[in-house]
Amino acid sequence: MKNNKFLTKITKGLPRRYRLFKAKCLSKIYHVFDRAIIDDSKRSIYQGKKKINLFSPVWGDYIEMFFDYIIPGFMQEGNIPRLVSEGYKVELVIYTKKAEHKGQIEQRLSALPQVTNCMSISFVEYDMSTVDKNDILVTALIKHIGKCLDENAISVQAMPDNFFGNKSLYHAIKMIEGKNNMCLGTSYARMSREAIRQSQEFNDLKEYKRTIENDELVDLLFSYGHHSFRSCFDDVSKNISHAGIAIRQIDDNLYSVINNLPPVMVADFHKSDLQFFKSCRIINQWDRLWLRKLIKSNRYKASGSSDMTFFVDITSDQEKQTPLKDNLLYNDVFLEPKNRLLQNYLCNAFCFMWRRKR
Amino acid sequence: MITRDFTKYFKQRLSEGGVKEIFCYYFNREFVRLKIDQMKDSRQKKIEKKCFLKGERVSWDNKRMRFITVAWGSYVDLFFSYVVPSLLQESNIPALYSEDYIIEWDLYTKKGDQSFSSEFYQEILEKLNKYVKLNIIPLEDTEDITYQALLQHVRKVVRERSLFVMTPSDTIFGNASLFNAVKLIAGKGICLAAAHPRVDTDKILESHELDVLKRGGEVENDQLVDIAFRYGHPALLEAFDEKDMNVTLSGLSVRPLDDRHYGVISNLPTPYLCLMDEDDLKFFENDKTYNNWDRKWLQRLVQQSRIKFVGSSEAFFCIELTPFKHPVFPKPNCQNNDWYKAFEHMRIQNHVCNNFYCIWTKPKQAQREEHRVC
Repeated sequence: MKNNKFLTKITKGLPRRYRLFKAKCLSKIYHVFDRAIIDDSKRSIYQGKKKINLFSPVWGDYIEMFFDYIIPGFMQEGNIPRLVSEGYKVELVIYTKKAEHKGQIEQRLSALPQVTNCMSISFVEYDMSTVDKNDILVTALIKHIGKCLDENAISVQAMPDNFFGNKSLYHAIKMIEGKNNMCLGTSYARMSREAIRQSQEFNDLKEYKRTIENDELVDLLFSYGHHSFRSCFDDVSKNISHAGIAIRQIDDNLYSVINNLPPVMVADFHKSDLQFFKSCRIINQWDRLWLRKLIKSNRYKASGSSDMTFFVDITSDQEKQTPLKDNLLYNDVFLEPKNRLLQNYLCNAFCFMWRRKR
Repeated sequence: MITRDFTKYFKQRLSEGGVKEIFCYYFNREFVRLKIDQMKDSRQKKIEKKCFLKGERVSWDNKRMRFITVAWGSYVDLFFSYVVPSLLQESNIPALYSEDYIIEWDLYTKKGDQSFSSEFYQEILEKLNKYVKLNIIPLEDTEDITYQALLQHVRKVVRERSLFVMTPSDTIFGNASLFNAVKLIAGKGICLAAAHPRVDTDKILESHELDVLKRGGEVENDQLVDIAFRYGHPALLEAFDEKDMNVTLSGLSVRPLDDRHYGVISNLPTPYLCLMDEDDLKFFENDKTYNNWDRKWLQRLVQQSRIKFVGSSEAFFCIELTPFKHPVFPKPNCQNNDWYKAFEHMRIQNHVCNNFYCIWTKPKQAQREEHRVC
């Protein structure tokens, strides 16, 4: 009798045991696949980085925009001054093509003591016979990565067309602080270069009279947005969400944004990044294959809310004429499936939230 | 493979430095290693594509929603006192009702449990019945009662093509959270997941801060964030990554960014809103456990690109009431950690969520004090 009970107990438990065994085996197989995708070898022990290098390739027409918007944006009290007050050393590294551009930039900087008192400024001048913008930028980037690695510094994208809201830079640095070789990305939008000339807010900012908070910047985006931004809303059938960004209004002030390739704004480089850019020599890979590499090596974080980090790309109305496509109502998927890569699949799952002030 | 770029740069190098430059550049250890890396990379791209499966997004055009709650005993009181009032806040169920959503709420309980029959709940039941059809479904008291409830519910949802809404009996939602969540996924045929904090049940109930809900008042998401940190369970309060000894290995890592904002990395957020089809039903029929809701089920959703994670508490926020005795295990050497268990144990869904900072926002100081006085 006892044996019978024992046997019944065992037989009853068999399906459960089989299921557990199956789950265990499957789990082991999945682990192998998951590990093949992502590895952690590029994240080393934190070494307390307190140096920030701003990456600014500037020349020609961009000099004006750099001094009108970008420098005042960084000099808002919640960005560089706050980081400096917390013990960070900030260096503005300007990569420029010709000696005449250097002279012009130096002259404008000399009239801005608030900038020169806050951070050190260095120039990397290089003669490029080529007129290819990609070659110029990628050469500057390779030099910059090398500099950051040598100086054990964090790099911030201070491109002459990227404007950061107040406190965005501070929050971005805080988010990756202590996480070695980590990079932070966020969703962004394009603002019209021609339209913001009419903006009183930006004109006051130019004069260092005011700051622009992130929620105000989202507000301004709706007044002075580039046409590519206006075509991103997914509630109409004809839109440009196929290009990677889909926006949806949730309530009066809140917007949900799916960005399939949110670019890195703050980067803590690893030596493998230098090899990567030396090898590919294409600047556009910054938010494509390099982003994929970061995700694969578990070195990427995306900031989910515009309250913390938000920046706009100031773009001329003549540029970025992405064609509208039909039948894209509620679409948030980037490109065709065959062209999608890890970073697109992954970032498609993130709902960035933008909040207006109004 | 010889690409156009390769030919371009080869010619450029040859013209600039001659054969010597070519030898130095292409025949050295670093270059060979790079090429090997690139080959490995292309192989991995194929693996990645296999990892992300083709998942059909489920259509949802009938505006039907079906909530699921499993409760008996003392949880029934929690449910009627806090969970139902939190969902009956003006911008949750009433807002959805005003936009013609049809809501049914299935309450699964143990057969013979008398907790629902209490007269105390008549008032709230009357209010609820204005917007929602409530079904109380008794189930046999078995070990896997929660799984049985889940399975029954999934069957109904798939049959009706309605939206599955997870409303646990100990989870309190902020005002507008549910409405925003529905707006976020509308038309996309996907699911929505969010990170949530645990709050100490005894502390929060003794404080009477949530009693405003019982009186028909509202608790906004930012107020709920404030409450969460003031009455947090050790699972939340020990999850700050600035300390060396913390519980971040359990999956939640919290970092204060300023006096109002917290950056939160949750390696296993909970799916709250789901659109399901027959394949999903098969998944649950084979799975036989409720615990995989935020594990294998989440993995499936991630692999099929059918899930979105909310980036800010301004859009969606909820708290889970947890008894103090619920164990937490702080581990040393975890400063700045955001990994779940250990890197080796992380699965694809954990890796994906690990890349995303959700921001939890408290109200401004003045509003905080005003709320407390109220």
